[in-house]
This record gives sequence, C-alpha cells and structure tokens, in this order.
Amino acid sequence: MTETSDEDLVRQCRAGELRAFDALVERHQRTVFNLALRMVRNGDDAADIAQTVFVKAYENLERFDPQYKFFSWLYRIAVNESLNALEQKKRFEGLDGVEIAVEPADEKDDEALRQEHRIQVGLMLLSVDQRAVIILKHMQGLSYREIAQVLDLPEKTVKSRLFSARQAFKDILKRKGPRRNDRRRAS
Amino acid sequence: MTAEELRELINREIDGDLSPSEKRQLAQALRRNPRARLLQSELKNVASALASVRSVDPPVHMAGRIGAEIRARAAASASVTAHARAAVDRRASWWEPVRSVVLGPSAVRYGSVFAGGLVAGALLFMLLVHPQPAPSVSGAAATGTLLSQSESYPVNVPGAQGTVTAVPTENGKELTFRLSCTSATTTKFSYDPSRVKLENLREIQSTGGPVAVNDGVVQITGTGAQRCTLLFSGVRDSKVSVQIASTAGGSFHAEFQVH
Repeated sequence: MTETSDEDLVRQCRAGELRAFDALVERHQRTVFNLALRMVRNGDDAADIAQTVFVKAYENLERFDPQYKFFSWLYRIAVNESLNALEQKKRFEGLDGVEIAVEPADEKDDEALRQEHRIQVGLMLLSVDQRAVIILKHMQGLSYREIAQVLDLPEKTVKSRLFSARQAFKDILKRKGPRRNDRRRAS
Repeated sequence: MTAEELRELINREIDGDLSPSEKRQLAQALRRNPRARLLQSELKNVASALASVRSVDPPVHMAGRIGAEIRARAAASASVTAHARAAVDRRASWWEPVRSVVLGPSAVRYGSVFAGGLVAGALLFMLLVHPQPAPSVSGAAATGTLLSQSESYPVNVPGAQGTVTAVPTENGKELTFRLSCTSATTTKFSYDPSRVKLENLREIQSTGGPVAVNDGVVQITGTGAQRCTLLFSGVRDSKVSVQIASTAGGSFHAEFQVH
C-alpha cells in the first residue's frame, strides 16, 4: 500500500481532518526533535521546541506554499524556533554566550558515545549559523537546494557557509578536542 | 587552480556534488599537492564523524501532547468563529425591527413608539412591584459503571437541558462523551491527571465557547446552545466526572467509572 504523501495530508488538514495532522506529526516528529536537540543540546528544550514547531505549522497551514516540500517548511520553523530558544536563553542568563553544561561521558561509555559527546560539544562551539548548516547537511541529509529553502538563503551562500563551517568544526576537533566534564560557552 | 578553488572542489566532493570532469580535475590536483590531500582526509573524517551521530528517540508522550494542543486550539478557534457569527446575528436581529420602525411611514412610527413605551412601562412596573425570585440552585446527579455499552443521562436543570452520553469503545480503552445543552453553561470534565495524561485526550470538539485544558480538567464555557464531544483514551479502571453549571443556577453532575 502506498503511503499518503505529505501534500495530501496537508490538503486533508486544510479540509479540517485533524487525524491527517497526527500523521504528519508521527512522520516528522523524530527529525524535528533531533534537529532541535542538535541545535540547543537539551532534550527538554528540544521537546518544547518540537511542540511549538508543530503547533505553529498547524496554525499557519493556510500560508504553506505547496510548491515547496512540506518538510522544508517544517525545518525552517524548527531552525527559527531553535534560534529563538537560544536567544531567549542568552537574554535570560544575561550572558554573551550560553553556559552549556556538557554532560560527562561516563568512563564505561564506549568509544562511539565518547565520539558523539565530542561532536555535540564541538557543534555548540560553532556559531548558530554554521551549526544549522552542518546539522541540516550532515545529520538531516538535505541537499544544498533544500538547505537554501530551509534557511532562505541563496544556494551559493549555503555552500560557502557549509565549507567554512566544516573547516571550523575540523579545527575545533583538531585543536584539542573538548575535554570531558568540560563547561564551555557557546552561542 | 587556486587554493580556494581546490578547497571548494574538496568540499563538494564530500557532498557528492562533482561532475566526472571535476572529479578528474580534483584527482590531478591532489596528486601534486600533499597539503590538499591532508585537508581532504581531515574533512572526510569530519563528515563521517558527523554522519555517525545516532538519531535520538523523541519523548514517548511528545506526539500525544502535540495532538492534544492542536485539538484544544482547533476547538477554541471554532468557538471564536461561532462567537463572531453569533454576534453578527444578534446585531442583525435587534436592528431589523428597529430599522423598520425608524424608517417606516410616520403614522406607524409614532404609533409604534407609543406602544413600545406602554409595554416598557408595564414591564418596569412588574419588575418593581413583583420582583422575580432569584434562580434557585437545583442539582441532578448520576453515576454509572461502564462496561461495554453506552450510558446516557438527561440534563434537565434550570438553564441547561440536554443529554450527556458516555460511549466506551474497545473494551473501555477509549471513552467518548457527547453533550448537548440548550443554553449557556460551564461544563467541566474532570479526570485523574496521574492516570489520564494530556495525550489521552484524543479529540475535543465544541460548538460552544472557549475550551481550556488544565491539569485534569477540560472546561468548556458555552454562551448558548452547544454540542461538544470529548474522546479520552487510557481511562480504563478510572473515573471521569462531568459537571455542568448553568448561568441560571442549575447544576448537574455525573460520574463514570470505566471498567
């Protein structure tokens, strides 16, 4: 049986079928949550952001342009909400950067976990613009064009931002690698 | 080829964006440039490290919470539309007779004003000499144990006439409430929030007023005739109560134990 497309589900939602929106949530909740999680690093915040993303998507469904892919539109809301959350946190804490409590990697953790830990800390040391482009490319697997749609940037800018972000990330990991039990400031 | 162009080719190769001729161009450049080879190797390591990060499961209740929030907003939005429509209808209903009098022939106009004055005076007299008794608070209560069949209770108290129907489905896994009332009421559906979570509220529909969902209570404030439907899941072996209070002082209470 073929799966109902996002576009068909959106049409059903616009006709007042709430269960069609449940299907969209079910389909995209994991990617939206993970996108937010990698942006803000905190699971509770990421769940709140994901909820806000879907509620905003529902409330603005009439404004969705079907010539674009639904997930691009959803990711755009997710990136914007993550940036808002980081901004609010920064304002609330009155710092020029957010204090990121890096969870210690346990001695018993396997190498893969330690690697993930280093990567997440490294991501938080990138600028938010660089972080977003790295996450969309390498963790969400989007093409240059899709990233350009999500971030509302020219494709050329996406490429140059991605290349410099990758370079910066390489340098962060190479410099010394974030130490365990580290507490660092990142925006 | 400049260093900048080489850097771009290396990056685009990682992203799988090179044409066959660009691939050959890059291979040639890399053969002559050990520093570029090192950069290529490091960036490939970065890409594979990032790709190895595992996706994390979202919290199990997240989708349910989103669904409940969407339904509460959809119900509230529907009631706002209904209120706006009702306001327009009300404006039309009082204006039409006034307009026909004010804009009608002068004999009709003066006659109507005189008759209206008499009626208003009579009403004022009745109100002052024979004040209406304050609405008495009367109540009705019902309790039910739901097994597999629906139970329906009539609501017939001052200011609220209608029916509360509870329909269990799937052996008590889900419970649907249907309520219809003829006039303004505040209806509270209460459940044990430690057992029934927000995500168990699968559907909230109301043609009445605003819907508020708060820690074990769904409250619907209706300004007139209304119908509402609530669908709970996960209510097996728990109680759900329905309280209706009308603006005329009538109250109704029903409690359902689901087995």
